[in-house]
Amino acid sequence: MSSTLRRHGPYTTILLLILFFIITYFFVMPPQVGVVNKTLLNWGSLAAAFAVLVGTIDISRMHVEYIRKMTRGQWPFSVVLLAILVITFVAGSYSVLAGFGTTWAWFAWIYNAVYIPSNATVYAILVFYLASSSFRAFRVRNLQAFLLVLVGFIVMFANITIGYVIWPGFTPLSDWINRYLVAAAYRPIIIGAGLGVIITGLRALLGREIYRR
Amino acid sequence: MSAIDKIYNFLSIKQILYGLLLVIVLWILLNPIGLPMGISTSTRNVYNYVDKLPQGAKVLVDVYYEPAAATEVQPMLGAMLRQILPKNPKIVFVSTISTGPAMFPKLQAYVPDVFSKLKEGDDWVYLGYLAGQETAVAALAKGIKEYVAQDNYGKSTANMAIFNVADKAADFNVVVEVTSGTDPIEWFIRQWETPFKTPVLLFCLSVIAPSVQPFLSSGQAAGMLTGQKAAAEYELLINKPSAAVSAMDAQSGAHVLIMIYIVLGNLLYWPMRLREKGRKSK
Repeated sequence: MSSTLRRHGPYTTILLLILFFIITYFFVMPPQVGVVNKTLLNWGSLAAAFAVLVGTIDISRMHVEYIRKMTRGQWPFSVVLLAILVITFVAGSYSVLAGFGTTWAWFAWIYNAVYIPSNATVYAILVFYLASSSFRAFRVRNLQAFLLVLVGFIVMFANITIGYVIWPGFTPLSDWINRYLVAAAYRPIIIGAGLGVIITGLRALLGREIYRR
Repeated sequence: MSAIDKIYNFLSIKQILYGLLLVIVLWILLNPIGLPMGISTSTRNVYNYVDKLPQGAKVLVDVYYEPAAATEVQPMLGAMLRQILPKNPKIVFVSTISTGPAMFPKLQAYVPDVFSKLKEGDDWVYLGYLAGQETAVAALAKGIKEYVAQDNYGKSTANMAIFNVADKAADFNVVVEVTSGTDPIEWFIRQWETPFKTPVLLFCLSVIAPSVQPFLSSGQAAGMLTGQKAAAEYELLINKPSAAVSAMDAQSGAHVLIMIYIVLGNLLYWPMRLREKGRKSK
């Protein structure tokens, strides 16, 4: 493969795809173009599925290397990770190939007995850290901090039943805060992120995002 | 060491706070108080929106949450399904997150009354996990049957009756995005709401509510439920109190304890700060 093609081939492909998807998103196209659009989207999904596979292979290689080198403080965890990865992969593949989808009892057990409790536990533990850090962090040091604590209390009271018992007005007040203050604060963030995406897209279109060795 | 310092140090012991939190939540869960609660405008709007959907409404539900978020968002979805059931809906369930297929059986177990009255393939279908994120969402909008050859259980979608009426984005009355993250919200707004004008309802965690609020204010989202409180309100609106309502008192207990700690922290902080200032001025 010539160096020109190697260097400009991926960029040209990406450029053409970006232009194609922008045009088909914003303009009404003939049915034949719609068919091409659908096919490309299917390819995109397939590529994404393969990316999961590539990621799995990559992480396996990395942890095999840790085990091979007996990296201190790491290799036992790598053994656990690879063991779980292999077990889940084998069980999941069998489940799908045997026509069970994701419902085969053994595969479901991995989810129900291992993944679900672990995931829920990690999230549940957060409340303890949150409570402890609230005690230290929510200090009324100045007017801004006072307003923060005040709004925090209003929203918290609106989210609990006892808040309604104390004053039914907490719920509409929290609604108002969310609808106006919160939306006003978040809208620029979203618009800013959107502009960032447009700029990145334009850089890709103009060839500024080419990876150079 | 003054009395204030002693109290501050005592309250700073994490184990005491953690123990109190655990005891309060467990005690209230075992002995529910049943306090009343107000209904927020956003929950009422979602209820009214679903209420106005036509008979045989076509609904796409994205089951995009993991076990950690299920306590908050699953009751919302359960309540919505119970509300829409009398309308003989056609519901296409899909997951754009890999944990979806693990959560869907939990949903079925949570609302068995709904799934027992609907026929699989005719009234509902679960497509399973679709990789590709926004690309997958865009492809779904252009024709589900063509894009997904088999459902989550390996059954061919080619002959499923549901896809005769609910196949493309334009066929659907509403998309219900049940999510623990913000990404899929933007995918559906960009790929379903903007080009095809398919309304999107958002059922999400309370922590992501602020980042979702602008979509509601701009009218890109038809309605939004956030957090366990909204789930509990929804259950009350449909007159079927369930998991969310029963967990609300425990949530109240935990919140009140945290608020008491914040107030105490400040009451102790100010004398300590003034004392420090006095020392420095000397």
